[in-house]
Amino acid sequence: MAMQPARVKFRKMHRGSRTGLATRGHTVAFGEYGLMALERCWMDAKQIEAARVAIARNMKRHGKLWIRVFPQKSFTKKPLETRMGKGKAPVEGWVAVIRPANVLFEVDGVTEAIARESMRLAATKLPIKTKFVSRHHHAS
Amino acid sequence: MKSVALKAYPRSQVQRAEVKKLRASGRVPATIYGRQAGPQNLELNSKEFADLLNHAASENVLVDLTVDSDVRAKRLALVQEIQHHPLDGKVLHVDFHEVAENEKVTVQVPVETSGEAAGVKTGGGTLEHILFKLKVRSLPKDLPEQIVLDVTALEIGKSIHVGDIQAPSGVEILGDKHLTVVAVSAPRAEEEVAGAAAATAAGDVEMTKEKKDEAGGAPAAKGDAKAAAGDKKADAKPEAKAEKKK
Repeated sequence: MAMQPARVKFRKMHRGSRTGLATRGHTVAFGEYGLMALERCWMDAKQIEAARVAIARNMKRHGKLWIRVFPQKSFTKKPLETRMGKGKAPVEGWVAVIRPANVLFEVDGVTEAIARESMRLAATKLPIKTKFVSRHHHAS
Repeated sequence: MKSVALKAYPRSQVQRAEVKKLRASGRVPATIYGRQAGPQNLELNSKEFADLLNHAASENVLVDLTVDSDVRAKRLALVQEIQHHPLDGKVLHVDFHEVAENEKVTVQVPVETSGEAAGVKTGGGTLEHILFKLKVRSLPKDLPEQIVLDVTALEIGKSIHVGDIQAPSGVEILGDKHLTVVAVSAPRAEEEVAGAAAATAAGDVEMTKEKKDEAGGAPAAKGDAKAAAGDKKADAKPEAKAEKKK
C-alpha cells in the first residue's frame, strides 16, 4: 500500500513552489549508496512504492534500505465532465515535492554492483532523471 | 598526517556576483582563520584543489599554504570545511583553520571498515555502519586521515563501540565510549519483511483540526448568506434605477 500521512492539520493544500535545488536532504546520510534526483517533480506515493519494491526485490532481503522522501502533500482532482468552480475538488492522492539534488533512496550492506543495479531498476519506476551517488565520492 | 603544499592568492572580491565570476574563471574562494593571525580571504586554483582532494582519503587534509605576497612563507592549516554544490559536487568554498605544530587540535575523522564480517559471510547478517565520524584530538602531524576498523571477527549480534577502538599513537578519541560504531544484525525474517510492508498500509488520513473546521464552517455559512443577500441587493438596484428614470 502506498505511503500517506497518518494525520494532517489541513486536508487540502496550495500547490506551492518547487523552484531551486534541494537545500536539505541532498547528501547520503544513512547508507553507503543512494539515488539522487536530477530533475524536479511531484513524486506520487505509488511511484515511491514501485521503486521501493524494485530495490527490495533486487537486494533479495540482504542489506538495508532507506526511503528518504515522503508524500506529505495532497493533490486534488476535479471529477470528469464537471464545470469549473464550486470549490476545491476532493483529494486525489499524495505526493512528495522533489527538487534536483534530493536523495530519494539509500542502501547499505550490499556490494556496489548490487546497489547500482537496484538503483537502476528503481530509476525506471520514477518520472525523472536520477543518478547513482556514493558516500565516498561526492556527487561529482 | 603529512602536510601537502598548496598555493593560494589573496582575494579582494567578496560580493556574490564577483565571487561567481571568480568561480567561472577557474578559482575557488577560500578563507583562512586561526589564533596566529586575523582572518584573510583567499582564492585557490580549482583544478589544483580538486586534485588534492582526489588524492586524499578524506576531506581532512593538512596543507602547507603558501599565500602570495604574504610575510610568512608557509602557513600550516587544516581544511576545516568544504562547501560543495549539491548537484554536481563542485567545490564552492573552502575554510582553512590555521594551526600550530605544537598545539593539539580536535577534528572529526571518518570511520571506515575493512574486511567482511564473519556474521555477514557465514550467518547472512547485515553490517550496520552507525557512526560515520569520530571526534579525535591530537597534534596536527599525528592526525589520522581516517580510522579503519577491522570487522572480520564480528559475529551476528556483536558490535564495536567507541571505547573498543584502538586509537593510533598520539591520538585521543573523544565522545561517549558506549556509542556503537559498527554492528552486525541478524538477517530479517520473512514475516518481518511482510510486516514492514503492511505497516505502510493506511486508511483515510485523519485530520487534527477537524472539529475546529466544523466550528469554522458556521461563519463561512454566514458569509455565504451575506453574499447571497448582497446578490439580491445588486439585482434590486438596477430595477430601482430603471423606475427612477421612468
